[in-house]
Amino acid sequence: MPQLAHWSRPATAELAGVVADPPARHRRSGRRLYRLVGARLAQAVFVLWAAITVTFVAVHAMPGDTVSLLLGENRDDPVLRAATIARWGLDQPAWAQYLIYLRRIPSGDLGTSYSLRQPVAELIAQSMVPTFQLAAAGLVAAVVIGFVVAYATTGRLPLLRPAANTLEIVFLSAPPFWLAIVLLAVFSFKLGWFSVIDYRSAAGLVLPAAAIALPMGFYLAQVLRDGIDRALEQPFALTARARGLSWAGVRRRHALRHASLPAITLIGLIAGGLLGGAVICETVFARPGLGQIAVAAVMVKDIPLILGIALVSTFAYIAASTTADLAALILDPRLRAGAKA
Amino acid sequence: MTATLTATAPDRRLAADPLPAPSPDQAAPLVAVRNLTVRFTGRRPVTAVKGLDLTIRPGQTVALVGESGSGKSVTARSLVGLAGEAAVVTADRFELAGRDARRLTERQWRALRGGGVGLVLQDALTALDPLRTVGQEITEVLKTHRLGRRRRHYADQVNELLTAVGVDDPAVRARQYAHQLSGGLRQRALIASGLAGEPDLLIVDEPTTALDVSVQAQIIDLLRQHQARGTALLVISHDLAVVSRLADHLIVMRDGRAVEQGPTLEVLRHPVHRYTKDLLAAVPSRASRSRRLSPDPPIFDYRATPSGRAGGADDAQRTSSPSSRRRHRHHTRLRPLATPTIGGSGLSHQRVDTRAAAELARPAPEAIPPAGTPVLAAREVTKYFSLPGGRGRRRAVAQVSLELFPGQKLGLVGQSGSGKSTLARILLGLIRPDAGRVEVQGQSWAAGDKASRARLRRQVQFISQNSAGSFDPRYTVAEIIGEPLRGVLPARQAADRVVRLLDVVGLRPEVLDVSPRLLSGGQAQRVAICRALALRPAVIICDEPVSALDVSIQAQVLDLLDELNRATGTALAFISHDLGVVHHLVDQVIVMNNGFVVEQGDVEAVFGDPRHPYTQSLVRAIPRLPAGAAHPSA
Repeated sequence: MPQLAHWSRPATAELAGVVADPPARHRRSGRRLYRLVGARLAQAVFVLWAAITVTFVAVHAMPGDTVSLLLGENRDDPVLRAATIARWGLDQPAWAQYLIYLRRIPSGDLGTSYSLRQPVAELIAQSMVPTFQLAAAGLVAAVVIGFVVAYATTGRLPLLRPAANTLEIVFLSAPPFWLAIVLLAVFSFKLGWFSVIDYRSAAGLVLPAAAIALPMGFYLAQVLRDGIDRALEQPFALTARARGLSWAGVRRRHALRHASLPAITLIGLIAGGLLGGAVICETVFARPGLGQIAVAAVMVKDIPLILGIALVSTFAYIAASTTADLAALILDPRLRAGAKA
Repeated sequence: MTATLTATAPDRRLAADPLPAPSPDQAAPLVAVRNLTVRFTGRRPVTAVKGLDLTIRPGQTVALVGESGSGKSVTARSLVGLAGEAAVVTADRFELAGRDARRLTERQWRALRGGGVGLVLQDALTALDPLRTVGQEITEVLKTHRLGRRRRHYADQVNELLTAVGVDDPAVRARQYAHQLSGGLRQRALIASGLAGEPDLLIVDEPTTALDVSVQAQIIDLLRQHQARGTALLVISHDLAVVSRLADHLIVMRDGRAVEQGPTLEVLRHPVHRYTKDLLAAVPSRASRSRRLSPDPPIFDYRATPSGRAGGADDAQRTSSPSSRRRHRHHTRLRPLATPTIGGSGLSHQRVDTRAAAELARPAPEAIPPAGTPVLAAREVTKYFSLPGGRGRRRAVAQVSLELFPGQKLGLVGQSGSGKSTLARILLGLIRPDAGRVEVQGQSWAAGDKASRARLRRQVQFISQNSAGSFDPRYTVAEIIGEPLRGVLPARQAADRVVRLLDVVGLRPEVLDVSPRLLSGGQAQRVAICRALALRPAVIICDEPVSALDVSIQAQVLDLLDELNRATGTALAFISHDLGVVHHLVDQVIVMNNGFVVEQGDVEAVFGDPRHPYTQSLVRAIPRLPAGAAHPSA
């Protein structure tokens, strides 16, 4: 059997410089942040365009004559018909209308609603206010419920966990309109605690927000609790306990932050959905808002309004999920550092 | 009792015997535990620690040595009151720093943890919170125990602590996260957090496991420095060599009991208990070359044959290893979740049937190259990996040449990141090198069509560190081993071959119908060896095949590989970071650093007289058993 001679390679300069220098690594996190935001913006522009295009194609494929809708009772008058077609630019082929629409968007001109005869941007801006109030109230309440329930049920009171589990099943399996109707029946009609007549008042916001926050909050609690449980099983939790930290301290200072990472993604998705309009909630409580006008717009095939709402909803979604990603990036340094050391 | 080195009557050291009463001139012990028992309640209750006695005096270092499931980590956690919610800890005497720990309230425990007793877990990457900087983690101790010299300003203290554990540039490191630090720095930072409360006793759980040898040596030196400053240490380890460098007093644990204890050198030089002897014999090193590491017939059943009073009345209720049945919420798992293993060892015999092995697994005639041709050769192989974010590329393997002849055993050593595993993948033909070529029996991977590559693949088989992960969990063991034979042999012949191969690697036929999830680490490795042998390969490439195994199981698997190599003439390329394992097993060795081969040749020559500074530093850093430690004469 041939033997390898015993030889050794001299230490050369080649060997040096191959290893990357670890301390320099954290300085690059700033640049990474910019790159992420930049990529997200480009992505957002593309998604917005795609949303508009798909919606445009879809509404034009819907049956129904736009001109008749615009004319209402005068639909049989040929003179008016010709004037209307010219005024709304309906004589143009669909692709030209599409291009005109796209070109107007950057200036904030989303066209005029067929059914309400008002600028779409104005209509949406008006509806945005109650929608935003509802979304913000619902979301804040959901996050509070989520964190409180998760924190309470991972503590040392053994009975809380099954109780929370039961509530979770109830709220998550109940259809959203049912919960809204029950809340309305019990707290408004029967007990009279919260009137929903005046949607502008704070009291009027309580029940709709609760209808949104209860299922979302308990769902969030589930995700958070899983995260806390998993974090508490990690060696660093034991290390923290061995430093003299209390059980509650470990949960507060270590586990909660770990659990927040998946929760943040979920909160982003929920927020995006709510900002696009909570249709069922708004309908049950008869609240004005994006959801309401969206339903109305689709019913009458109000193309400019449908397009405008699609645009705003998509934008809200992108903004919310990008914010969630940025928040995760701030919380988790491992996402910031490019390569693992 | 730390000072006596003279051989005492063996019976005195057997663990179940009471410790000699401390003489009055000795300081009051920091830890005085009598008859410590830790039971885990739950669906399948288990007693992890059974009647352990432990005394640690100020400044003393005591080591708990044992394999997984021996109860050593549970003991350590019990000493800080963190054995877990499902744990029931009882003791006749349980004193920590003169106070009765059985009566401590949670608040008093908390004051003790970190302040009186520091605990440093193994693997700093997971033992430090990945979302917090190293500085924040150290500060946490100072805040919890209100040790700040100035309110809300701990930076100076953190810097001092990091400097004390030998971290350069402490201000920068304190702002970094664990994953941004190298393994050694991370471990130092973790130790700094353990020392931040200036505890009288520091418990270190496997402080050097998973670290490269040179880093290992540095951490041992660091712990020795703190020893010299008067900190008492409780070292938990499976590594006798590491322990011998640190501890005054040694306790060997098995199945929740101390089977033997005494002054470290004395226990290592004159082991009394059979288990200690076998454990010492199982340590692979230069001295163990060409002898078996594992006890050979009969397989000594420590449970069935209690020596002294080790092994007890409740042995009957024990089924598998305690760690496999420990399940409780809120308690850090000591090991990756173990599944119930096959009862007993699952082994039919220990020694390989040479004739059967030769008949079944000798390389096929077409696998034997013409004389003088290596079965596997690398010619100036180079591989680059591009760095993330377009920051250029890194050389993973640089101009590596090697030749492996039939029947030869070649070792590949180097620290993590040295390119060993990349080289293994190139040799297997899984990664295409950027330059150079790999030849199997003189034929290059790159040349030839798909069919000829498939023929070559049969000649080069692979065993990984985590074989269990390489098995399809839905397959049975028989299907796993038989998979490579599909389309090669008729089904009946293949099935017959699987049964006989299984016997060659020492597994009982019952294992055949079992899911791989039920295999223990050692059994999984045997199945992997079986699968590798199924096609009568010329070479088996083993990437850290024993790194995840306990010493005694490692010994069995190394013995098996060695005997198979002798019986069948299958060449082995053996990758390991453990120089002792390599020195024990192989004939030729290649030392890699940063992708380059820095030294190669006969293993005795390279490790006996290393020429390259890198090899010299590696060899110097090998933790060794003290001179005179009991190695049975082969």
